[in-house]
Amino acid sequence: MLALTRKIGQSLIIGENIEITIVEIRGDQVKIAIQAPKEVPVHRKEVYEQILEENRQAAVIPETVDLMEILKLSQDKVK
Amino acid sequence: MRIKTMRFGEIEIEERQIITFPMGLPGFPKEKTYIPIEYQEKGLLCFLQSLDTPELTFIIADPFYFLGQGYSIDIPENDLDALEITSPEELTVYVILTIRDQGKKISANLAAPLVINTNKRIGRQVILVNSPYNAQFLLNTPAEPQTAASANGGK
Repeated sequence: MLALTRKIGQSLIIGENIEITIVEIRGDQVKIAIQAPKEVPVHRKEVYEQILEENRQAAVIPETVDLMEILKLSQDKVK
Repeated sequence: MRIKTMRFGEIEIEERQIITFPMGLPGFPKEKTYIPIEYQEKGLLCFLQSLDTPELTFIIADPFYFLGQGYSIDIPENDLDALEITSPEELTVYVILTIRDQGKKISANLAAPLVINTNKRIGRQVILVNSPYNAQFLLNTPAEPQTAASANGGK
């Protein structure tokens, strides 16, 4: 992991086309602007990790899952 | 073409059925190609089978079937552009289901739906920002364990 120090308004360039700029520092919070190609998603790490973990758990499907039972759940959810 | 799967054995698929996730899925960056195996041909519930890894299968569901029009989401512009989607007719949304406790808990990941360009067969998992939706939205209540799982679960 590379650690660089920047001042407000300064930037980093990652690869050819990802740019990170320090926009504002207020107390212990840093506002960071990211410019990246649209194909490259950018997320807060803890949010990304939550989805990653949920996907990992979703990939474990019990052998005896009954899709018919799951389909029936929608009828129970009439709003 | 034939592909090997753990769940369904060796199956015959058509290339036009393949959906590509250029970024993979969080947790599964290397698996980029999948085919949907529909349950009952209505497209409400599918297995999403990886072509790269025979053991990898997800269960995905049409969120509007389970929630009606109550699932209202804003897909970020960047994601729509990356998927080359220019109009709502071009996209399909699915959510990944997680089954826990041998079927007693079935939840849908509403916080990160799969958004697919139906014509171009490309998709990505879009992590919604500032959305009220839960990554573990329970579809069944704990008081109603799934009868099939109760009969077959707990080996």
